[in-house]
Amino acid sequence: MPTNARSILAGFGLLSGVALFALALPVAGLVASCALVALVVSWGAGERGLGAYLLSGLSGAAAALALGLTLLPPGIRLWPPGL
Amino acid sequence: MTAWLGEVATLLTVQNLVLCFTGALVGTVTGVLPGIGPAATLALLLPLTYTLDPAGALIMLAAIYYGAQYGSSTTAILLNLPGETSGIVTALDGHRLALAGRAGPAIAIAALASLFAGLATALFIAFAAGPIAELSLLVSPAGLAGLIALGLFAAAVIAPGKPLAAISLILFGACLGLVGTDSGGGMPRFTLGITELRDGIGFMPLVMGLFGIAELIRALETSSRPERIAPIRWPWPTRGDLKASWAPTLRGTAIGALLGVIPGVTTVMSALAARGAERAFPTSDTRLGQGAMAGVAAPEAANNASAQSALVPLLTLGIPGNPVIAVLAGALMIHGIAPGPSFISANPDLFGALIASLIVGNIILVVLNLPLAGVWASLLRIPFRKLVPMIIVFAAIGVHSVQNSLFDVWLMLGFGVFGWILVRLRLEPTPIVLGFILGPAFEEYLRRTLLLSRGEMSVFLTDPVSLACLMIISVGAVVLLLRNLRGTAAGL
Repeated sequence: MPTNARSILAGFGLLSGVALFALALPVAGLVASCALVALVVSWGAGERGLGAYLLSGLSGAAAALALGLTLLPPGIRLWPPGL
Repeated sequence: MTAWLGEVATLLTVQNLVLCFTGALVGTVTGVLPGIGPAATLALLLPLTYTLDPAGALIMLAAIYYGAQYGSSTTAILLNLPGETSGIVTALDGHRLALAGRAGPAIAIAALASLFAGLATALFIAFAAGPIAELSLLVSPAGLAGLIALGLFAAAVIAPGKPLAAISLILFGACLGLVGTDSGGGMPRFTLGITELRDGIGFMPLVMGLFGIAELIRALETSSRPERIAPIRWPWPTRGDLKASWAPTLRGTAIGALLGVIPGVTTVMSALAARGAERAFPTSDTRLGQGAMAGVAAPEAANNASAQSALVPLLTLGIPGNPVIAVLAGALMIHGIAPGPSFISANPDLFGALIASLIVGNIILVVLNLPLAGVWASLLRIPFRKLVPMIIVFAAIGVHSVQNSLFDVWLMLGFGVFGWILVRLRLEPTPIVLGFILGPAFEEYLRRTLLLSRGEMSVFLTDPVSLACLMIISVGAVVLLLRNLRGTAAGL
């Protein structure tokens, strides 16, 4: 893929990931939002394949859960409201 | 001196040693990866320090800082892929040594030169920073405003690319720093009626957006996996290697420590200057550029010494001399630590913590880097695209968790878009961060000066420090203008 197209795709994917985090956090909680972010960003970074997306999403969720349970203040919502 | 050593010794608790080790380790790992510089590394890893007390945070942030500087030399020597720009200079001779099967000794010499430079510069900071800070307490607000103006001028001159673009970005950064509640009148300014902006624009969203996201996009464009990693073998250098390196190490340390103090001088400039100086001296092994140990020792010593002595203007005057120090300054402010003329006298424990971190951290880095050089290099086998999702997740969580604010995440997105545009235009975002930090400081001292002088502007010409700074700025501006005019005339 040409560098220009790769850069545009990377920029779009990474920035979309951040936007999704801000949109999804209030309704989906930290863990699901981070899984979504990791999935979208992995697409932007150039991953192509269901296995890679799944692994990125799970890694994002696991990282959010680990951080949420250890370092972050207790007020941060980890799960969607009602769970 | 004894009291100071005692202060350092009391800080060597198990918790602080673990923090220093963790910072050095994480900084090295991130510094090894090409595309993520020390500024982005510090910004991305800042959330790790949120729960720490100020001394622990300072120790860990400093360790991340020099760990990231250190990490680049291994990949520069082994792969000719520096993780940070100053590694380019080390790679010139270091990679030739690796190709000749001498990667191990080259890495060892780089580590030992960095260790010597790190320890020597830590002592230099310990002895010089106190007296400089005491002197800077004697400087009037007008003089401090002049010094900050000089720092801004130096940042504009030395920034890569066209000076006009750098000046515009510095002014833009300064304007961003002025958003919030006016410290004089208590009225909101430039907030566009947005309540969240009354506390000003957060440092984290700015740095994460400009450095974190924008640099990741750039790294995705350029990152490549190495075809082959040179074998390291036994890393201990021969007696000949040590003989060829000790004098360049001393010279590199002196050059780096002195240049690093000057605001605007980056580590790559110090490394280049040290390598340039080596041309004047004969090498005892091979010629410089052909795989000489001097070509590894001098730039590595200068790089490490410069990175550390750049802390002097920050700790004594509150002026961050380069973008990485600007990020470090912002990180310290988040922890309620305000670097400036009264920092050392008001926080001797924190200053001691920093010196202890510099001394212990440099020793930890050698212990980490010599046996684990191969492990760091093998990190590059992991495709960069696999790391990016986790980095963005950490960045988003980090920015959100500072104030539990989604507005900060949107701000990061905005700065990410802006940083991406700058990347596309081949412009550096670093002047924005320098302007963001120095702009409000300049305003504060300007206000104090005008309050004391009852609005009389001539005080800037009667104060000797301010006058000297204004003269340096004027002469520098005229010289630059003449050089540009000559260049334009020659091009016609």
